[in-house]
Amino acid sequence: MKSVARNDNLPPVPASRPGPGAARLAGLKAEVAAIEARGHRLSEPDGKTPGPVSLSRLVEARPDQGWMHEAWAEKPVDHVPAMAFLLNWLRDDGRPFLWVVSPTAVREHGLPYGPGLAAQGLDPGRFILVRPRKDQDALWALEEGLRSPALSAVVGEGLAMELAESRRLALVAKDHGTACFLLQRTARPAASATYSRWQVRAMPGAPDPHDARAPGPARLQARLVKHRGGYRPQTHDLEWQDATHHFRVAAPLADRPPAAETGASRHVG
Amino acid sequence: MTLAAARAILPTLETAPADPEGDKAALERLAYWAVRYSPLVGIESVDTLFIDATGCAHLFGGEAAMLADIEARLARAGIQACMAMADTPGAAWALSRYRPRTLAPVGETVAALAGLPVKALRLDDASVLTLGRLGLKTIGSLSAIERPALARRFQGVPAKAVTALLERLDQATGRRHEPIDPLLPLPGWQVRQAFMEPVAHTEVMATAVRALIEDLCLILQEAGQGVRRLQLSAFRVDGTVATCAVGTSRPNRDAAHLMKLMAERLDDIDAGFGIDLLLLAARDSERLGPEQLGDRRVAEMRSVAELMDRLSARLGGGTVSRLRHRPGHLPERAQTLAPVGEDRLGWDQLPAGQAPRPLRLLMRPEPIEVLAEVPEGPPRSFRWRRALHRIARAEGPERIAPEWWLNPTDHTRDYYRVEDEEGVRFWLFRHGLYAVPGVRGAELPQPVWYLHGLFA
Repeated sequence: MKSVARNDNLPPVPASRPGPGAARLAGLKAEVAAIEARGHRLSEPDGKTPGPVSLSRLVEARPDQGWMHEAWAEKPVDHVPAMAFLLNWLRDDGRPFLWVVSPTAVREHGLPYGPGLAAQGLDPGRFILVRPRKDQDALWALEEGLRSPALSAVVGEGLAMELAESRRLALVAKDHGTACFLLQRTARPAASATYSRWQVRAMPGAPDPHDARAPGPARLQARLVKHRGGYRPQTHDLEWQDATHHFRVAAPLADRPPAAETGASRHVG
Repeated sequence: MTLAAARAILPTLETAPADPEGDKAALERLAYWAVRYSPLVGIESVDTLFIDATGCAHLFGGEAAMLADIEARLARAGIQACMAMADTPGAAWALSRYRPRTLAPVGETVAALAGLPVKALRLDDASVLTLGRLGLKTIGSLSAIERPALARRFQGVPAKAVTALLERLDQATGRRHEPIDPLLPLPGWQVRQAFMEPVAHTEVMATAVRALIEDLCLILQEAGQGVRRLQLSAFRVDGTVATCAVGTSRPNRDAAHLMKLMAERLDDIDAGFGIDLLLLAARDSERLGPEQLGDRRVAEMRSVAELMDRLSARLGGGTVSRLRHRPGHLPERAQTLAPVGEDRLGWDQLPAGQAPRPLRLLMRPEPIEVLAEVPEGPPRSFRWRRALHRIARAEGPERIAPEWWLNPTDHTRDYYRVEDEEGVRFWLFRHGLYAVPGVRGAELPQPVWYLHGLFA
């Protein structure tokens, strides 16, 4: 069998039974895989801890990495950290975006609050808030938004959708070049056509540097649980940085188990 | 005559109880129907409608044809009506009652009224009686007398009655303007499409509406205007009117866009037995100058506005909004939802240096059960939505005073930013103050804790 691993980052193609066309087929497959993998040269699918550069490439939902991304919270209390993580994807473009939110999500988690958003470097005036009464209307609104050329992105929060519906949205997003972000709070992730899925949960943070009893910068854990671009599942502890209005890798405590950290901060309670 | 007496004369007499409310409602329905003849229709009294036919008669083939058309349509609906057309509402009123079907030529109102009794001037009975005693039986004899002489003859009659008499006379002859109180606000622009055969199919109607919108947009373009509210009235053959309206977030005269909005609403119109007239009116319009083509920013702003219009046309009013800042100390007052079309969102006026604010604010503060309470400090642990949260860190209080000028009995709020052991961050507040012996009265109610927002 010919050597097919042109790109070292690619997982090896499983050896097939030798046959007349098998080698040729394997070669073609490898070629296709190599083309698909282009643009992901900085990836570390070997499981190494990614450096800051590749992490920002990964965390930012970039167009060459698909048009539909999902921030998923398993528990209700993780919903707002997941939202904060998702806002990262919206921050750079100054154009308005559509935020379609289900009535259930509004009831459970309230509305996005402008003064808090502004403090995180996101202009609340960019929000176009849509609160449809029915899920079907919500999907329609998302699709309309994706077709509009003036939006930077479209966000769906707490919407129930089937695989076919999410695939349809992903296709519309791709066709019109507008990103679609989903914010989901379900006990178990639903099957969907999303390109990447991040599970976000709150993490105990470090104390405020000026006041040991006060909460410091927000910290959350983002776990990549699905990525169609070939990234392996990986977990990052991120800390909010007020100066840059971005999350960065929570470096000092990244490798320490959260329990130890909680224990350390106990004495202030 | 009493009913009993009348029945004694004619036992088969048919009676129906008087229903002034029903009559009023029916007249109002009729008035809405009459909008098909002119946008300016007014209800004059319990039995009279005024239609301002100025500039409208040519649409019906002239004044006589218009009158005939009104009468024929009313007769078909089983309504007996007397009508007349004249230069002034007062003259039309007089002629419709005393010379029905008269069409007083322009400028000859005085001559047309000359032979009518003075009662045709909409006078009360006392004035008519007084005039009769003076020998003034017709409008012609009344208007022949000079004004000072008339006043002299009315000595002893209250001045108010004389003034009313002269006012009615002047209104009828056109010396004094009599405004018609319009049923509907007058549209700035209006186009119409009458059908030879009643239309019952939505597709046909949609085609007609598309043509109407294109017409209207051409007119608006010439006038340099854009529409903010577009109203479609469909007149059914049975005399009822169905209307629907769409709004836009900024002045617009893009026919394709307006048609998209209107298409969402066309299903609301039930054609019934068929529609014989469509009226499309620009109810609200604003200045909209010619637009530069190819300006990316203008194009973006426009397409955002059009997207919001489409969404709110389909999903209903109130579902599409933007976040707007209002100056206010209470957190729930600092943000309101602005309807589509509101441009001033006020986020540039957000006070700087504020204490941290949450990313999400609950629709209303939710009471929490505080398990370990520390006076004048954040709780050690609390229960919210059945889950127990142990607080690891806390910051506060940020004291926010109530709006005492609005609600004098409201309590002070002490806000705390807390983080529980799992890292979840909440915004809690204590509503009210603890009683402190010697400082604050012990009669104060025990303060209640609430959860108001969630941080990342």
